[in-house]
Amino acid sequence: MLEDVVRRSLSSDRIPRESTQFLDSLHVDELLLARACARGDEAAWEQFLGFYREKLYRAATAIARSESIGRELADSVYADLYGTRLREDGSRISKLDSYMGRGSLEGWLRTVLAQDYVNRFRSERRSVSFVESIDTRPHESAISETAELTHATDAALAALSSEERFLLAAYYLDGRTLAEIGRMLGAHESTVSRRLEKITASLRKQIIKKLCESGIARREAEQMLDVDVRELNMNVREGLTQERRSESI
Amino acid sequence: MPSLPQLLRSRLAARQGLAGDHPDADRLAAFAAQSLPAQERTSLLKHLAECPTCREILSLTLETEPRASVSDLHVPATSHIAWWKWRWAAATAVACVAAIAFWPQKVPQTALPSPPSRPSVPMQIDHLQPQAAQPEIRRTVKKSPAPKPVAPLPERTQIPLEEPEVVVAKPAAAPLAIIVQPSAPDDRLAEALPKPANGFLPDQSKSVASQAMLDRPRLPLSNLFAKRKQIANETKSLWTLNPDLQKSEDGGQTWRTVQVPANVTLYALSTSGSSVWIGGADGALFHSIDDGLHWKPVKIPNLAGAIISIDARDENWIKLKTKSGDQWQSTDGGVHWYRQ
Repeated sequence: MLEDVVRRSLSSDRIPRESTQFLDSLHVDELLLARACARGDEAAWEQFLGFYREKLYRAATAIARSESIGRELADSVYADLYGTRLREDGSRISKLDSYMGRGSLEGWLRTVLAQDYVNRFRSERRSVSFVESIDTRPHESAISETAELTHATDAALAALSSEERFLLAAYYLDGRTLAEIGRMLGAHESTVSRRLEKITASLRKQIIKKLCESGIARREAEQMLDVDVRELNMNVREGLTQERRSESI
Repeated sequence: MPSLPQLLRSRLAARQGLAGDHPDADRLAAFAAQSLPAQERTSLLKHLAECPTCREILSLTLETEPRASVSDLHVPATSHIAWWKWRWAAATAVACVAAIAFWPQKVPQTALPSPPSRPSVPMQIDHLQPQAAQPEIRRTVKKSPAPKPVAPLPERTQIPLEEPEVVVAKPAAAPLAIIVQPSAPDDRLAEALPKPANGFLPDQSKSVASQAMLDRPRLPLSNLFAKRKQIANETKSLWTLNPDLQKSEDGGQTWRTVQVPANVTLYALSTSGSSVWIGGADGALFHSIDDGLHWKPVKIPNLAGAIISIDARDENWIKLKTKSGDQWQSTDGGVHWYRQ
Protein backbone atom coordinates (compact mmCIF):
# COMPACT_ATOMS: atom_id res chain seq x y z
CA MET A 1 0.00 0.00 0.00
CA LEU A 2 2.81 2.43 0.88
CA GLU A 3 4.54 1.65 -2.40
CA ASP A 4 1.30 2.54 -4.15
CA VAL A 5 1.11 5.83 -2.25
CA VAL A 6 4.74 6.68 -3.09
CA ARG A 7 4.22 5.74 -6.73
CA ARG A 8 1.15 7.93 -7.03
CA SER A 9 2.39 10.83 -4.92
CA LEU A 10 6.04 11.02 -5.90
CA SER A 11 5.71 9.51 -9.38
CA SER A 12 8.33 6.91 -8.51
CA ASP A 13 8.10 3.12 -8.96
CA ARG A 14 10.00 2.23 -5.85
CA ILE A 15 10.46 3.85 -2.45
CA PRO A 16 13.56 6.04 -2.73
CA ARG A 17 15.80 6.63 0.22
CA GLU A 18 14.90 10.28 0.45
CA SER A 19 11.23 9.40 0.76
CA THR A 20 11.68 8.19 4.33
CA GLN A 21 10.68 11.64 5.53
CA PHE A 22 7.66 11.52 3.24
CA LEU A 23 6.61 8.15 4.67
CA ASP A 24 7.08 9.41 8.21
CA SER A 25 4.74 12.31 7.51
CA LEU A 26 1.88 10.09 6.29
CA HIS A 27 -1.25 9.66 8.39
CA VAL A 28 -0.97 5.89 8.21
CA ASP A 29 -3.89 5.03 10.54
CA GLU A 30 -6.30 7.16 8.53
CA LEU A 31 -4.83 5.89 5.28
CA LEU A 32 -5.49 2.30 6.37
CA LEU A 33 -9.05 3.15 7.35
CA ALA A 34 -9.68 4.90 4.02
CA ARG A 35 -8.26 2.00 2.03
CA ALA A 36 -10.28 -0.52 4.02
CA CYS A 37 -13.43 1.51 3.34
CA ALA A 38 -12.52 1.72 -0.35
CA ARG A 39 -12.19 -2.09 -0.41
CA GLY A 40 -15.71 -2.34 1.02
CA ASP A 41 -14.83 -3.52 4.52
CA GLU A 42 -18.09 -3.13 6.49
CA ALA A 43 -16.37 -2.77 9.88
CA ALA A 44 -14.17 -0.02 8.48
CA TRP A 45 -17.25 1.76 7.10
CA GLU A 46 -18.92 1.54 10.46
CA GLN A 47 -15.89 3.12 12.08
CA PHE A 48 -15.64 5.75 9.36
CA LEU A 49 -19.28 6.75 9.71
CA GLY A 50 -19.07 6.84 13.50
CA PHE A 51 -16.06 9.12 13.29
CA TYR A 52 -16.67 11.37 10.32
CA ARG A 53 -20.41 11.38 9.56
CA GLU A 54 -21.35 14.35 11.74
CA LYS A 55 -18.14 16.21 10.92
CA LEU A 56 -18.86 15.82 7.23
CA TYR A 57 -22.39 17.17 7.55
CA ARG A 58 -21.22 20.10 9.67
CA ALA A 59 -18.45 20.97 7.22
CA ALA A 60 -20.84 20.69 4.25
CA THR A 61 -23.36 23.00 5.91
CA ALA A 62 -20.61 25.51 6.72
CA ILE A 63 -19.31 25.43 3.13
CA ALA A 64 -22.73 25.73 1.49
CA ARG A 65 -24.00 28.18 4.15
CA SER A 66 -27.30 26.39 3.90
CA GLU A 67 -28.47 23.28 5.71
CA SER A 68 -30.43 21.85 2.79
CA ILE A 69 -27.69 22.43 0.23
CA GLY A 70 -25.16 21.21 2.79
CA ARG A 71 -27.09 17.94 3.23
CA GLU A 72 -27.30 17.52 -0.50
CA LEU A 73 -23.58 18.20 -0.86
CA ALA A 74 -22.63 15.78 1.93
CA ASP A 75 -24.88 13.05 0.51
CA SER A 76 -23.35 13.50 -2.91
CA VAL A 77 -19.83 13.23 -1.48
CA TYR A 78 -20.89 10.17 0.54
CA ALA A 79 -22.04 8.51 -2.65
CA ASP A 80 -18.64 9.22 -4.24
CA LEU A 81 -16.82 7.97 -1.16
CA TYR A 82 -18.84 4.77 -1.06
CA GLY A 83 -18.58 4.27 -4.79
CA THR A 84 -21.53 4.07 -7.14
CA ARG A 85 -19.66 2.67 -10.13
CA LEU A 86 -18.12 -0.78 -10.41
CA ARG A 87 -14.84 -1.98 -11.88
CA GLU A 88 -14.68 -4.93 -14.27
CA ASP A 89 -13.96 -7.28 -11.36
CA GLY A 90 -17.14 -6.10 -9.62
CA SER A 91 -15.44 -4.03 -6.92
CA ARG A 92 -16.67 -0.51 -6.24
CA ILE A 93 -14.73 2.56 -7.36
CA SER A 94 -14.48 4.61 -4.19
CA LYS A 95 -13.14 8.15 -3.98
CA LEU A 96 -11.49 7.17 -0.71
CA ASP A 97 -9.03 5.22 -2.83
CA SER A 98 -7.50 8.53 -3.91
CA TYR A 99 -6.70 9.57 -0.32
CA MET A 100 -2.93 9.35 0.12
CA GLY A 101 -2.63 10.20 3.79
CA ARG A 102 -0.57 13.35 3.19
CA GLY A 103 -2.91 15.39 5.35
CA SER A 104 -5.51 14.32 7.89
CA LEU A 105 -8.51 12.41 6.56
CA GLU A 106 -10.79 15.07 8.03
CA GLY A 107 -8.94 17.83 6.18
CA TRP A 108 -9.05 15.80 2.97
CA LEU A 109 -12.81 15.33 3.37
CA ARG A 110 -13.27 19.09 3.80
CA THR A 111 -11.25 19.71 0.65
CA VAL A 112 -13.30 17.14 -1.29
CA LEU A 113 -16.48 18.85 -0.08
CA ALA A 114 -15.17 22.26 -1.11
CA GLN A 115 -14.10 20.96 -4.53
CA ASP A 116 -17.46 19.33 -5.07
CA TYR A 117 -19.30 22.46 -3.97
CA VAL A 118 -17.30 24.76 -6.24
CA ASN A 119 -17.41 22.41 -9.23
CA ARG A 120 -21.00 21.27 -9.02
CA PHE A 121 -23.30 23.43 -6.91
CA ARG A 122 -21.91 26.83 -7.77
CA SER A 123 -21.60 26.13 -11.46
CA GLU A 124 -25.27 25.16 -11.53
CA ARG A 125 -26.26 28.55 -10.18
CA ARG A 126 -23.89 30.54 -12.31
CA SER A 127 -24.41 31.56 -15.82
CA VAL A 128 -20.71 32.18 -16.21
CA SER A 129 -17.75 30.59 -14.46
CA PHE A 130 -15.60 32.51 -12.06
CA VAL A 131 -12.70 32.79 -14.48
CA GLU A 132 -14.97 33.97 -17.24
CA SER A 133 -16.65 36.43 -14.92
CA ILE A 134 -13.40 38.25 -14.23
CA ASP A 135 -13.63 41.10 -16.64
CA THR A 136 -10.26 41.35 -18.28
CA ARG A 137 -11.41 44.05 -20.67
CA PRO A 138 -9.82 47.39 -19.95
CA HIS A 139 -11.62 49.09 -17.09
CA GLU A 140 -12.30 52.79 -17.05
CA SER A 141 -9.25 53.32 -14.91
CA ALA A 142 -7.21 50.94 -16.98
CA ILE A 143 -7.89 52.76 -20.21
CA SER A 144 -5.20 55.22 -19.32
CA GLU A 145 -2.64 52.46 -18.78
CA THR A 146 0.05 52.84 -21.33
CA ALA A 147 1.67 49.88 -23.03
CA GLU A 148 4.91 50.66 -21.19
CA LEU A 149 3.17 50.65 -17.85
CA THR A 150 1.39 47.37 -18.59
CA HIS A 151 4.63 45.80 -19.78
CA ALA A 152 6.57 47.07 -16.76
CA THR A 153 3.92 45.82 -14.33
CA ASP A 154 3.73 42.41 -15.99
CA ALA A 155 7.51 42.10 -15.87
CA ALA A 156 7.62 43.13 -12.21
CA LEU A 157 4.86 40.65 -11.34
CA ALA A 158 6.62 37.88 -13.25
CA ALA A 159 9.79 38.49 -11.24
CA LEU A 160 7.97 37.87 -7.96
CA SER A 161 8.01 34.49 -6.28
CA SER A 162 4.92 32.32 -6.62
CA GLU A 163 4.09 32.86 -2.94
CA GLU A 164 4.25 36.63 -3.40
CA ARG A 165 1.98 36.49 -6.46
CA PHE A 166 -0.41 34.25 -4.52
CA LEU A 167 -0.47 36.78 -1.70
CA LEU A 168 -1.23 39.67 -4.06
CA ALA A 169 -3.94 37.72 -5.89
CA ALA A 170 -5.60 36.66 -2.64
CA TYR A 171 -5.55 40.22 -1.28
CA TYR A 172 -6.23 42.39 -4.31
CA LEU A 173 -8.33 40.07 -6.50
CA ASP A 174 -10.19 37.86 -4.05
CA GLY A 175 -10.47 40.48 -1.33
CA ARG A 176 -9.42 38.01 1.33
CA THR A 177 -8.63 39.44 4.72
CA LEU A 178 -5.14 39.34 6.16
CA ALA A 179 -6.27 36.71 8.68
CA GLU A 180 -7.66 34.49 5.90
CA ILE A 181 -4.45 34.77 3.89
CA GLY A 182 -2.48 34.11 7.05
CA ARG A 183 -4.42 30.89 7.61
CA MET A 184 -3.72 29.79 4.03
CA LEU A 185 0.01 30.39 4.38
CA GLY A 186 0.33 29.33 8.00
CA ALA A 187 1.53 32.76 9.05
CA HIS A 188 0.28 35.43 11.40
CA GLU A 189 -1.77 38.26 9.91
CA SER A 190 0.83 40.82 10.99
CA THR A 191 3.43 38.89 9.00
CA VAL A 192 1.11 38.93 5.99
CA SER A 193 0.58 42.67 6.46
CA ARG A 194 4.34 43.35 6.54
CA ARG A 195 4.94 41.16 3.51
CA LEU A 196 2.21 42.93 1.56
CA GLU A 197 3.73 46.30 2.36
CA LYS A 198 7.17 45.06 1.37
CA ILE A 199 5.97 43.49 -1.89
CA THR A 200 3.97 46.53 -2.99
CA ALA A 201 6.86 48.86 -2.17
CA SER A 202 9.25 46.63 -4.08
CA LEU A 203 6.83 46.35 -7.02
CA ARG A 204 6.56 50.11 -7.22
CA LYS A 205 10.34 50.42 -7.35
CA GLN A 206 10.63 47.73 -9.99
CA ILE A 207 7.89 49.21 -12.16
CA ILE A 208 9.50 52.66 -12.02
CA LYS A 209 12.89 51.13 -12.80
CA LYS A 210 11.52 49.30 -15.82
CA LEU A 211 9.70 52.41 -17.03
CA CYS A 212 12.96 54.36 -16.78
CA GLU A 213 14.72 51.62 -18.74
CA SER A 214 12.16 52.02 -21.49
CA GLY A 215 13.11 55.69 -21.86
CA ILE A 216 10.58 57.40 -19.60
CA ALA A 217 11.89 60.09 -17.26
CA ARG A 218 11.89 59.07 -13.60
CA ARG A 219 9.58 61.89 -12.56
CA GLU A 220 7.11 60.98 -15.26
CA ALA A 221 7.34 57.32 -14.29
CA GLU A 222 6.58 58.21 -10.70
CA GLN A 223 3.61 60.29 -11.80
CA MET A 224 2.29 57.30 -13.75
CA LEU A 225 1.99 55.49 -10.44
CA ASP A 226 0.17 58.36 -8.84
CA VAL A 227 -0.25 56.70 -5.48
CA ASP A 228 2.25 57.09 -2.72
CA VAL A 229 3.34 53.80 -1.23
CA ARG A 230 2.39 55.14 2.21
CA GLU A 231 -1.23 55.07 1.07
CA LEU A 232 -0.85 51.38 0.42
CA ASN A 233 0.57 50.95 3.89
CA MET A 234 -2.47 52.75 5.24
CA ASN A 235 -4.78 50.45 3.30
CA VAL A 236 -3.12 47.40 4.79
CA ARG A 237 -3.26 48.92 8.24
CA GLU A 238 -6.93 49.83 7.77
CA GLY A 239 -7.64 46.27 6.76
CA LEU A 240 -5.92 44.95 9.84
CA THR A 241 -7.79 47.36 12.09
CA GLN A 242 -11.12 46.48 10.50
CA GLU A 243 -10.45 42.81 11.13
CA ARG A 244 -9.65 43.51 14.76
CA ARG A 245 -12.84 45.52 15.06
CA SER A 246 -14.93 42.75 13.55
CA GLU A 247 -13.26 40.19 15.80
CA SER A 248 -13.96 42.33 18.87
CA ILE A 249 -17.61 42.65 17.81
CA MET B 1 -3.43 57.33 -14.47
CA PRO B 2 -4.37 54.26 -12.44
CA SER B 3 -3.22 53.87 -8.86
CA LEU B 4 -0.89 51.00 -8.07
CA PRO B 5 -3.59 48.82 -6.44
CA GLN B 6 -5.85 49.34 -9.49
CA LEU B 7 -2.99 48.52 -11.80
CA LEU B 8 -2.14 45.39 -9.81
CA ARG B 9 -5.77 44.22 -9.84
CA SER B 10 -5.96 44.75 -13.57
CA ARG B 11 -2.70 42.95 -14.36
CA LEU B 12 -3.28 40.15 -11.83
CA ALA B 13 -6.74 39.56 -13.30
CA ALA B 14 -5.16 39.20 -16.74
CA ARG B 15 -3.00 36.35 -15.39
CA GLN B 16 -5.93 34.40 -13.93
CA GLY B 17 -7.03 31.20 -15.59
CA LEU B 18 -3.60 30.55 -17.09
CA ALA B 19 -2.77 27.78 -14.61
CA GLY B 20 -2.70 24.22 -15.90
CA ASP B 21 -4.27 21.13 -14.36
CA HIS B 22 -5.87 21.57 -10.97
CA PRO B 23 -4.18 19.82 -8.03
CA ASP B 24 -6.04 16.90 -6.46
CA ALA B 25 -7.75 17.08 -3.08
CA ASP B 26 -4.82 15.27 -1.45
CA ARG B 27 -2.31 17.97 -2.39
CA LEU B 28 -4.66 20.82 -1.49
CA ALA B 29 -5.45 19.23 1.87
CA ALA B 30 -1.74 18.72 2.54
CA PHE B 31 -1.10 22.36 1.61
CA ALA B 32 -3.87 23.50 3.96
CA ALA B 33 -2.28 21.37 6.70
CA GLN B 34 1.13 22.95 5.95
CA SER B 35 2.58 19.50 5.40
CA LEU B 36 3.75 19.76 1.78
CA PRO B 37 7.49 19.62 1.09
CA ALA B 38 8.98 22.99 0.14
CA GLN B 39 9.40 22.22 -3.56
CA GLU B 40 5.88 20.89 -3.97
CA ARG B 41 4.49 23.79 -1.96
CA THR B 42 6.17 26.29 -4.28
CA SER B 43 4.79 24.50 -7.30
CA LEU B 44 1.30 24.50 -5.84
CA LEU B 45 1.55 28.19 -4.90
CA LYS B 46 2.40 28.94 -8.52
CA HIS B 47 -0.85 27.30 -9.55
CA LEU B 48 -2.84 28.96 -6.77
CA ALA B 49 -1.56 32.41 -7.76
CA GLU B 50 -3.23 31.98 -11.13
CA CYS B 51 -6.25 29.86 -10.29
CA PRO B 52 -9.16 31.57 -8.48
CA THR B 53 -11.09 28.29 -8.30
CA CYS B 54 -8.40 26.50 -6.32
CA ARG B 55 -7.92 29.53 -4.08
CA GLU B 56 -11.62 29.42 -3.33
CA ILE B 57 -11.50 25.69 -2.59
CA LEU B 58 -8.54 26.25 -0.28
CA SER B 59 -10.35 29.09 1.44
CA LEU B 60 -13.51 27.02 1.94
CA THR B 61 -11.40 24.14 3.30
CA LEU B 62 -9.77 26.40 5.86
CA GLU B 63 -12.99 28.25 6.73
CA THR B 64 -14.54 25.02 7.95
CA GLU B 65 -11.45 23.93 9.82
CA PRO B 66 -11.79 23.85 13.59
CA ARG B 67 -9.98 26.99 14.68
CA ALA B 68 -6.51 26.52 16.07
CA SER B 69 -4.01 29.13 17.01
CA VAL B 70 -1.40 30.07 14.46
CA SER B 71 1.30 28.65 16.68
CA ASP B 72 -0.49 25.30 16.50
CA LEU B 73 -0.53 25.46 12.73
CA HIS B 74 3.05 26.38 12.16
CA VAL B 75 5.31 25.09 14.90
CA PRO B 76 8.85 24.89 13.59
CA ALA B 77 10.84 21.80 14.39
CA THR B 78 13.45 23.90 16.23
CA SER B 79 10.98 25.73 18.46
CA HIS B 80 12.78 24.62 21.62
CA ILE B 81 15.98 26.19 20.34
CA ALA B 82 14.18 29.46 19.64
CA TRP B 83 12.76 29.39 23.14
CA TRP B 84 16.22 28.77 24.55
CA LYS B 85 17.56 31.81 22.69
CA TRP B 86 14.93 34.01 24.30
CA ARG B 87 15.32 32.78 27.83
CA TRP B 88 17.31 35.85 29.00
CA ALA B 89 14.88 38.22 27.36
CA ALA B 90 12.03 36.44 29.13
CA ALA B 91 13.86 36.61 32.47
CA THR B 92 14.51 40.34 31.99
CA ALA B 93 10.87 40.94 31.11
CA VAL B 94 9.73 39.11 34.24
CA ALA B 95 12.17 41.18 36.32
CA CYS B 96 10.82 44.43 34.80
CA VAL B 97 7.23 43.42 35.48
CA ALA B 98 8.12 42.51 39.04
CA ALA B 99 9.89 45.86 39.54
CA ILE B 100 6.86 47.76 38.24
CA ALA B 101 4.55 45.72 40.43
CA PHE B 102 6.56 46.40 43.60
CA TRP B 103 7.32 50.07 42.95
CA PRO B 104 3.98 51.52 44.08
CA GLN B 105 4.22 49.74 47.44
CA LYS B 106 6.31 52.69 48.65
CA VAL B 107 3.06 54.68 48.87
CA PRO B 108 1.81 54.61 52.46
CA GLN B 109 -0.68 51.82 52.84
CA THR B 110 -3.09 54.00 54.78
CA ALA B 111 -3.74 55.90 51.58
CA LEU B 112 -5.54 52.99 50.04
CA PRO B 113 -7.54 50.99 52.58
CA SER B 114 -8.87 47.67 51.39
CA PRO B 115 -12.62 47.39 50.90
CA PRO B 116 -14.23 46.05 54.07
CA SER B 117 -16.39 43.59 52.14
CA ARG B 118 -13.42 41.59 50.86
CA PRO B 119 -10.81 41.55 53.59
CA SER B 120 -9.89 37.89 53.34
CA VAL B 121 -9.07 37.81 49.60
CA PRO B 122 -5.46 38.78 48.90
CA MET B 123 -6.08 40.02 45.31
CA GLN B 124 -9.38 40.57 43.56
CA ILE B 125 -10.15 42.19 40.23
CA ASP B 126 -13.59 43.62 39.70
CA HIS B 127 -15.00 44.64 36.36
CA LEU B 128 -16.91 47.81 37.09
CA GLN B 129 -18.85 50.22 34.97
CA PRO B 130 -16.98 53.51 34.53
CA GLN B 131 -19.69 55.40 36.43
CA ALA B 132 -19.40 53.00 39.32
CA ALA B 133 -15.64 53.15 39.35
CA GLN B 134 -15.26 56.90 39.63
CA PRO B 135 -16.69 57.51 43.12
CA GLU B 136 -14.49 54.72 44.42
CA ILE B 137 -11.41 56.37 42.97
CA ARG B 138 -12.37 59.85 44.21
CA ARG B 139 -13.00 58.56 47.71
CA THR B 140 -9.58 57.05 47.69
CA VAL B 141 -7.98 60.23 46.49
CA LYS B 142 -9.36 62.25 49.39
CA LYS B 143 -7.55 60.02 51.82
CA SER B 144 -4.42 59.87 49.78
CA PRO B 145 -1.54 62.15 50.64
CA ALA B 146 -0.50 62.18 46.98
CA PRO B 147 -3.43 63.19 44.76
CA LYS B 148 -1.32 63.41 41.60
CA PRO B 149 -1.95 59.93 40.24
CA VAL B 150 -5.64 60.49 39.54
CA ALA B 151 -5.14 63.73 37.61
CA PRO B 152 -5.91 62.24 34.17
CA LEU B 153 -9.24 60.81 35.27
CA PRO B 154 -11.43 63.94 34.85
CA GLU B 155 -10.06 64.23 31.33
CA ARG B 156 -11.14 60.68 30.63
CA THR B 157 -14.69 61.40 31.76
CA GLN B 158 -15.02 64.11 29.11
CA ILE B 159 -14.44 61.77 26.20
CA PRO B 160 -17.58 61.71 24.07
CA LEU B 161 -16.72 58.47 22.26
CA GLU B 162 -17.36 54.98 23.55
CA GLU B 163 -16.23 54.65 27.14
CA PRO B 164 -13.21 52.47 27.69
CA GLU B 165 -13.72 49.60 30.04
CA VAL B 166 -12.15 50.43 33.39
CA VAL B 167 -10.89 47.62 35.54
CA VAL B 168 -9.87 48.52 39.04
CA ALA B 169 -7.54 46.09 40.70
CA LYS B 170 -7.89 46.25 44.46
CA PRO B 171 -5.27 44.23 46.30
CA ALA B 172 -5.82 44.09 50.04
CA ALA B 173 -4.03 47.09 51.54
CA ALA B 174 -2.03 47.38 48.37
CA PRO B 175 -1.66 50.08 45.76
CA LEU B 176 -4.31 50.84 43.21
CA ALA B 177 -3.82 49.81 39.61
CA ILE B 178 -5.96 51.06 36.76
CA ILE B 179 -6.21 49.18 33.52
CA VAL B 180 -7.75 51.10 30.66
CA GLN B 181 -8.92 49.06 27.69
CA PRO B 182 -10.10 51.10 24.70
CA SER B 183 -13.04 49.10 23.44
CA ALA B 184 -12.83 49.94 19.75
CA PRO B 185 -9.42 50.95 18.46
CA ASP B 186 -9.55 53.45 15.65
CA ASP B 187 -7.10 53.36 12.77
CA ARG B 188 -6.60 57.10 12.98
CA LEU B 189 -6.08 56.65 16.69
CA ALA B 190 -3.25 54.29 15.87
CA GLU B 191 -1.42 57.17 14.24
CA ALA B 192 -1.34 59.00 17.53
CA LEU B 193 0.52 56.12 19.12
CA PRO B 194 4.25 55.68 18.67
CA LYS B 195 5.08 53.57 15.64
CA PRO B 196 7.92 51.08 15.91
CA ALA B 197 10.50 51.08 13.19
CA ASN B 198 10.18 47.38 12.41
CA GLY B 199 6.74 47.78 10.90
CA PHE B 200 4.80 46.04 13.65
CA LEU B 201 1.54 47.74 14.40
CA PRO B 202 1.12 48.87 17.97
CA ASP B 203 -1.07 46.65 20.11
CA GLN B 204 -4.18 48.75 20.58
CA SER B 205 -6.06 46.20 22.59
CA LYS B 206 -4.91 47.43 25.95
CA SER B 207 -2.53 49.71 27.76
CA VAL B 208 -1.78 49.19 31.40
CA ALA B 209 -0.98 51.94 33.82
CA SER B 210 -0.28 51.53 37.47
CA GLN B 211 -0.75 54.46 39.84
CA ALA B 212 2.92 55.31 39.64
CA MET B 213 3.01 54.93 35.89
CA LEU B 214 0.22 57.47 35.46
CA ASP B 215 2.68 60.16 36.53
CA ARG B 216 5.08 59.29 33.80
CA PRO B 217 5.07 61.78 30.96
CA ARG B 218 5.85 59.04 28.45
CA LEU B 219 2.44 57.40 28.84
CA PRO B 220 0.34 58.59 25.87
CA LEU B 221 -3.04 58.29 27.61
CA SER B 222 -3.84 62.00 27.65
CA ASN B 223 -2.66 62.34 24.05
CA LEU B 224 -4.70 59.32 23.17
CA PHE B 225 -7.88 60.72 24.70
CA ALA B 226 -7.31 64.12 23.11
CA LYS B 227 -6.87 62.40 19.75
CA ARG B 228 -10.12 60.50 20.22
CA LYS B 229 -11.90 63.73 20.99
CA GLN B 230 -10.39 65.37 17.92
CA ILE B 231 -11.42 62.42 15.75
CA ALA B 232 -14.97 62.65 17.12
CA ASN B 233 -15.12 66.32 16.22
CA GLU B 234 -13.74 65.69 12.77
CA THR B 235 -16.31 63.01 11.97
CA LYS B 236 -18.78 64.67 9.66
CA SER B 237 -21.62 62.21 9.28
CA LEU B 238 -22.76 58.92 10.73
CA TRP B 239 -25.12 56.48 9.07
CA THR B 240 -27.49 53.81 10.33
CA LEU B 241 -30.37 51.61 9.19
CA ASN B 242 -33.06 51.85 11.78
CA PRO B 243 -34.81 50.36 9.69
CA ASP B 244 -34.99 53.51 7.52
CA LEU B 245 -31.75 55.01 6.32
CA GLN B 246 -30.73 57.68 8.79
CA LYS B 247 -27.87 60.13 8.94
CA SER B 248 -26.36 62.23 11.70
CA GLU B 249 -24.12 65.19 11.04
CA ASP B 250 -23.48 66.14 14.66
CA GLY B 251 -21.71 63.08 15.94
CA GLY B 252 -24.89 61.11 16.64
CA GLN B 253 -26.85 63.64 18.69
CA THR B 254 -29.61 64.10 16.14
CA TRP B 255 -30.61 61.83 13.29
CA ARG B 256 -32.62 62.50 10.18
CA THR B 257 -34.15 60.05 7.76
CA VAL B 258 -32.64 60.04 4.28
CA GLN B 259 -35.01 59.34 1.41
CA VAL B 260 -33.86 56.72 -1.05
CA PRO B 261 -35.09 57.09 -4.64
CA ALA B 262 -37.02 53.80 -4.56
CA ASN B 263 -39.34 52.28 -2.02
CA VAL B 264 -37.29 49.24 -1.01
CA THR B 265 -36.53 47.49 2.24
CA LEU B 266 -32.89 48.08 3.06
CA TYR B 267 -30.72 45.50 4.79
CA ALA B 268 -27.13 46.59 4.24
CA LEU B 269 -25.12 49.78 4.52
CA SER B 270 -21.45 50.56 4.11
CA THR B 271 -19.53 53.81 3.86
CA SER B 272 -16.05 54.79 2.86
CA GLY B 273 -15.36 58.50 3.07
CA SER B 274 -18.11 60.28 1.19
CA SER B 275 -18.99 57.11 -0.71
CA VAL B 276 -22.12 55.42 0.69
CA TRP B 277 -23.52 52.04 -0.43
CA ILE B 278 -26.93 50.69 0.51
CA GLY B 279 -28.55 47.42 -0.50
CA GLY B 280 -31.77 45.61 0.19
CA ALA B 281 -34.58 43.43 -1.08
CA ASP B 282 -34.67 42.12 -4.66
CA GLY B 283 -31.07 43.01 -5.35
CA ALA B 284 -31.65 46.73 -4.85
CA LEU B 285 -28.31 48.53 -4.68
CA PHE B 286 -27.71 52.27 -4.52
CA HIS B 287 -24.54 54.30 -4.42
CA SER B 288 -23.89 57.88 -3.41
CA ILE B 289 -20.55 59.56 -3.93
CA ASP B 290 -21.49 62.81 -2.18
CA ASP B 291 -22.32 61.60 1.31
CA GLY B 292 -25.94 60.82 0.53
CA LEU B 293 -26.98 63.95 -1.37
CA HIS B 294 -27.54 62.12 -4.65
CA TRP B 295 -28.17 58.41 -5.20
CA LYS B 296 -27.55 56.27 -8.23
CA PRO B 297 -29.11 52.81 -8.65
CA VAL B 298 -26.55 50.12 -9.48
CA LYS B 299 -27.63 47.10 -11.50
CA ILE B 300 -25.63 43.89 -11.27
CA PRO B 301 -26.54 41.39 -14.00
CA ASN B 302 -27.51 37.94 -12.66
CA LEU B 303 -27.70 39.13 -9.07
CA ALA B 304 -30.83 37.70 -7.49
CA GLY B 305 -32.26 37.93 -4.00
CA ALA B 306 -31.76 40.35 -1.17
CA ILE B 307 -28.43 42.01 -0.50
CA ILE B 308 -27.71 41.40 3.17
CA SER B 309 -24.18 42.69 3.58
CA ILE B 310 -21.95 45.30 1.94
CA ASP B 311 -18.30 45.91 2.68
CA ALA B 312 -16.82 48.98 1.02
CA ARG B 313 -13.16 48.83 1.94
CA ASP B 314 -12.35 51.91 -0.10
CA GLU B 315 -13.91 53.87 -2.94
CA ASN B 316 -13.01 51.18 -5.46
CA TRP B 317 -13.14 47.89 -3.57
CA ILE B 318 -16.67 46.76 -2.70
CA LYS B 319 -17.85 43.31 -1.72
CA LEU B 320 -21.44 42.32 -1.09
CA LYS B 321 -23.29 39.20 -0.07
CA THR B 322 -26.78 38.09 -0.97
CA LYS B 323 -29.24 36.11 1.09
CA SER B 324 -28.56 33.05 -1.04
CA GLY B 325 -24.90 33.17 -0.04
CA ASP B 326 -23.49 34.57 -3.28
CA GLN B 327 -20.65 37.03 -2.99
CA TRP B 328 -20.07 39.75 -5.56
CA GLN B 329 -17.08 41.99 -5.78
CA SER B 330 -16.08 45.09 -7.63
CA THR B 331 -12.61 46.54 -7.70
CA ASP B 332 -13.40 49.60 -9.77
CA GLY B 333 -15.95 51.47 -7.72
CA GLY B 334 -18.94 49.41 -8.88
CA VAL B 335 -18.44 49.69 -12.65
CA HIS B 336 -17.76 45.97 -13.11
CA TRP B 337 -18.83 43.17 -10.82
CA TYR B 338 -17.87 39.54 -10.65
CA ARG B 339 -19.23 36.70 -8.58
CA GLN B 340 -16.84 34.86 -6.25
